[in-house]
Amino acid sequence: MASSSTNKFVLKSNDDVSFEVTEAVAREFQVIAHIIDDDCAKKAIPLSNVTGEILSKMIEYGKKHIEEAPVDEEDEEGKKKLQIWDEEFMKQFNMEIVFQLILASNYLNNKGLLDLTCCTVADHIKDMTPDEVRTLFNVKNDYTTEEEEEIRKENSWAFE
Amino acid sequence: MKTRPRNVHDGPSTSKRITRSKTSTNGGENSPTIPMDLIIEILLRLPAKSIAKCRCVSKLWANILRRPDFTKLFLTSSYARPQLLISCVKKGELFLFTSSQDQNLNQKSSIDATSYHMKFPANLSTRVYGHVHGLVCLLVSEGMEKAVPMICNPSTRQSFPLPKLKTTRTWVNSFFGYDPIDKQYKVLSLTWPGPRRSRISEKHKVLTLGTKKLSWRMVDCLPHYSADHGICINGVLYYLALVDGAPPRGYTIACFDVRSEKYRFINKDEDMELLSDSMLVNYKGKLSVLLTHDLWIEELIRERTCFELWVLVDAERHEWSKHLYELPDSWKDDVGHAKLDYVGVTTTNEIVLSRRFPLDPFYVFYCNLERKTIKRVEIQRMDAFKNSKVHIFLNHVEDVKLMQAI
Repeated sequence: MASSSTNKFVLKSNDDVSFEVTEAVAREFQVIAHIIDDDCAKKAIPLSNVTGEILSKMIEYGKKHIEEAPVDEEDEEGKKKLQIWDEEFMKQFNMEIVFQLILASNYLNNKGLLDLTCCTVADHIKDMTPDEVRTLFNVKNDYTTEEEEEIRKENSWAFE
Repeated sequence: MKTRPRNVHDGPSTSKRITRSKTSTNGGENSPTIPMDLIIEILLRLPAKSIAKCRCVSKLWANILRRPDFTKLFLTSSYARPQLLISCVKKGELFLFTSSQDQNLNQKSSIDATSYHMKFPANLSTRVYGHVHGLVCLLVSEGMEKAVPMICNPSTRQSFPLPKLKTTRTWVNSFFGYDPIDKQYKVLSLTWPGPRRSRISEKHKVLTLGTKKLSWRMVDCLPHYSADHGICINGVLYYLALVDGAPPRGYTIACFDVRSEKYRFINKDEDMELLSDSMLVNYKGKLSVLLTHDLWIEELIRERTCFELWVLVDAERHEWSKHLYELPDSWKDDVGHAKLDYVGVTTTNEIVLSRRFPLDPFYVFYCNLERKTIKRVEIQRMDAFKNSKVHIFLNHVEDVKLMQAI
């Protein structure tokens, strides 16, 4: 039987871009791991909710986390190295891509990437005004002028 | 949480404004819509101050941020990013700050800024009694000589006074505990007649937060002297005590079970040199004592090569184990001639030390006993408190639950 490092799978994006990955990398995504375990992984695994652009980034992340995985819980240096790589990795994306990565990592169930992308957005919005947050998330302001004044007053300390 | 790109609690907010205006055009109309369950995942990673701002985004968001399931998750995830709680008294006011607690010892040094939270009127008796599970219990000034116990939450900036103890001209020492089983906060107060009498408590009273009518109830206990600071570990409050009338064996450790409200005393080991300022800490979930003697005396720093840590192995049998940890080789280079006090032990088992009266710059040292590393963190924006009385508390967590009453 082939080991997970030699066993290959093909992941196919919704815009028909195919990526050949090792089993270990494929298993970084829980949903794909289940497909493999259920022996449903035939020629190519179609991923209907992910574009090729996003999938290639997710595979890059998955590969790095397999190749550079810390030896154990105590491997602080390994963890730090990976953390620095994560930071650099996220710097290349604008919020639109980060949002797509959040959706895709949630869909393919990769907890590490979901945490990383959510932290990136949190860091991006932590000093934003409510109005800027509304624009970013397409949220409708359903407060009346009076209500908004009231809630702004209650939380005024946060705007100091 | 596997990885964090940056600690979102880090950094002064002012410098971020510039980058924000550039990037705020991202997202919006071009971005895919993020479903609410994923927005919640993002909001759980925000600092408490940003949560307050997000309540103003929309009614839907405000409702979600108030929901008990959200506030509970937020508090739980806050335990993964504990903070330093810093109290400073200056010119008749007590200020509360927080700063991120360093979790990463791989760098030799780093810089962190404080966030201001609240201030209270202060007199000579004003101080923080303790903090537990997101809330802080403190004694604040009410006029020249009077003082009132308060509960505050630095993460929501709410504060509520506690009912006064019904005895006049009484001196009080209080401790703040949390029972994780019944999820109840309790304040324990020890009283004695006055400053000229020895500090032997005669009455011991307890108050439970969250009850309809807040009231102090008597608790049975032997009269004893109590040290200023205690620690609450897993539903038990511990502090150093001298039991009145007991054989002169020096300090024992008073244990108050927050749930059952029962007292007991644990004897020290014969070889343990407990002093009134010995530091009680939570080391790997167990009550432990860091012996503080002479650490801040320069000459002894040069000679001293070990930390002495006593871990309580069996409370029933009064059994302790002694651990000696050698100081890292770089100790003298890193610390120099600073006179340091123990601050406590972090959840990742680093001993934290700082100056008794902070100078500018204000440094906090994190010392990992097992890896023999030492890290210096400069806490910024403390220059206004140079040479003021500063107290640092470790492992503070953020609770964004809004209280109607305590």
